[in-house]
Amino acid sequence: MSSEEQWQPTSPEDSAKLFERAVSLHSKRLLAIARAIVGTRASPEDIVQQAFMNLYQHRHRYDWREPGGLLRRTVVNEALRILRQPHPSALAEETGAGATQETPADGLILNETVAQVRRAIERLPEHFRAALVLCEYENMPYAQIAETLGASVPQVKTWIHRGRRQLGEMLKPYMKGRERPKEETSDS
Amino acid sequence: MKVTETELDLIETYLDGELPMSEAEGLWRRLALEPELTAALDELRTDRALRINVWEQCEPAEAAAITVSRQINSAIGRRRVWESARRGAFYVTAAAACMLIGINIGRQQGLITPAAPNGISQNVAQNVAMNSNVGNANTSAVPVNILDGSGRIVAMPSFQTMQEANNFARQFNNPNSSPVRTVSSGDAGQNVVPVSDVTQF
Repeated sequence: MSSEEQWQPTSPEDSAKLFERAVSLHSKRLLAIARAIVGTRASPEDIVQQAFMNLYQHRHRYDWREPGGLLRRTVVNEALRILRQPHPSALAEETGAGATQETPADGLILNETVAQVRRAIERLPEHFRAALVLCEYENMPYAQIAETLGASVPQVKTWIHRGRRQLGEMLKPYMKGRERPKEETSDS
Repeated sequence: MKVTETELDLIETYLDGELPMSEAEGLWRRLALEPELTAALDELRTDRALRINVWEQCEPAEAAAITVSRQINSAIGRRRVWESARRGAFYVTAAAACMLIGINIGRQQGLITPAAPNGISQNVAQNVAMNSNVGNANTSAVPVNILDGSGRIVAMPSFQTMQEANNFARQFNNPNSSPVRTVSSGDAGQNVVPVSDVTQF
């Protein structure tokens, strides 16, 4: 029996096992995607859990052997749906695992820069944000991003490029401020 | 020479891995010749690295991810229990509904009838048979056998005359008529059992 045949669900119990496996394997990345899209405006844990419950309700329709694309699509759509709701609840700014670690001085500067970039990203329109995180974090091709977001490829390219332009504009004052002390120290 | 928006888009598409090979080769040739383009490429790479840092900081700690996975699996487990209970309730309700429908159909077909006040159902009345030992109309009682569905005698009222016996049988066999309650008394010593007392047999 090939490995593919081995994973063919033959009973509701097999289907449930595959589903649980998908939850365990993909939760971490899905939480990161959800957090990247909603920032501090919603709870990424709630988004990921709701996405999984929605999929569980219709689990018999899908193939759970390779559910990565399906899960990403569902989480992204759920995150965008939450953001579209009126007055989404604002959460205290939570940082991920990397920011809580102690860093040397250079690391502090980098962390501060990253924090600035994150704040700028949170000010982007949600579709720009979603397209960027799928492109740069998930390394998805444009066509797959388009399918995930329910858009066309040219639209996705526009969102990604315009998102980057807007980020550049928002971060320009900060980046210039960082460069000026460097020039002053190099001159002295 | 300033880098144009179109050139920046081209470089970004190249960094995204989406540039067709023919265009990528053209870009490499230009990068070798145009330092401004190379500087723009480096700047875009730096910006991209910063953003990837942001995305990676969005990742939860391993323990947090495991906690969320467990919460999701627990919620799914509770959903499965609920679905099983709901399925069971559905089957019970469906069975009860089928029974009700069957009973109603049976009543309409006359297979199931409510018992008459005297305890004898009207379909039994269809089997009222005249006793072959019919006595003299003037002096002897005329017994009437009331049979159940399997032919057993469940009651045997007697009547003074054949006319009375026939009337009784006709009324008893008619499901729309009310039970006969008249009592006719014969000669002294004879007992004519009213319909309502037939159950005493």
